[in-house]
Amino acid sequence: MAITLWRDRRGGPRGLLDNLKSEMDHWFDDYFSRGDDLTKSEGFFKDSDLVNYPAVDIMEKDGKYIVHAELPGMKKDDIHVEYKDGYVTIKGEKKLSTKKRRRTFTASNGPMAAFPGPLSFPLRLRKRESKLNTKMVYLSCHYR
Amino acid sequence: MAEQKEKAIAKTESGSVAAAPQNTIVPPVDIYEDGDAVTLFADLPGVSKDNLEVQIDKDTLKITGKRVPFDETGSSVYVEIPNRDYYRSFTIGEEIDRERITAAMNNGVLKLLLPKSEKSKPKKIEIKVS
Repeated sequence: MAITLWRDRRGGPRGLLDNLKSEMDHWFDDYFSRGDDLTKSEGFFKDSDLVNYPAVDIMEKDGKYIVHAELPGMKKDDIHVEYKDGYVTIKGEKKLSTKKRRRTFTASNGPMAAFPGPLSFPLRLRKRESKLNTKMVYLSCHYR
Repeated sequence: MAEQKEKAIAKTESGSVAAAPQNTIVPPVDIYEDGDAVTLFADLPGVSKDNLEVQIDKDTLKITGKRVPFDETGSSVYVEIPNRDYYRSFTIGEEIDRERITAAMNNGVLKLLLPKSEKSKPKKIEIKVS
């Protein structure tokens, strides 16, 4: 495969745990989140400063890769794309309202609005075998 | 206090009248509550305002979102984004004023404001000095 997803394994088990948290949260939320007691539903793991990985689709068309990333709640200015050392990295950071409210309930592996501070995520795509044409790297945001 | 919280808004049992339609996914939500209102944020990426439906049926709040497929055609290299619609329902309590509920969609996030009725809000009782 000419393009692969990069996952953070530099931090040892931390990167793996991030991925596992995301997957498990999603799985548990889908299957067990329909009980009545909102106060007990905060995902399988508690919120923390763990990094979120957005879901992506990658398509190939006319010699180009098209990446769709789901980034709900993010504005175009919050998203940064860069190419370096064979990696395309998509980063997003969302500054959140500090308005004090009691959070009743969170079911999350994605709702960034719940986090008390800035949150960033890296998503890296590595193109193997040949150099990536940086002109191909562009970002378009579609809000539908 | 905990009882009051659960009365304001609660998820609906999957086996009830508001059971999720088949082949839908449950959008993640955050719900905040203060003295005036309950505010719900739901992540619904890929759903436009026209494909979003928020319904109140007695004490059930239903959120239904139809995901619009991407325009581009090509060969898929990697697929993570589920091509399924969203559905989630909640039971809302009597203290929510149904007539004043508002919804807004921004950057793929639905914000629902569910104001509490005046009579359900805590009242401060003035103490008179005799």
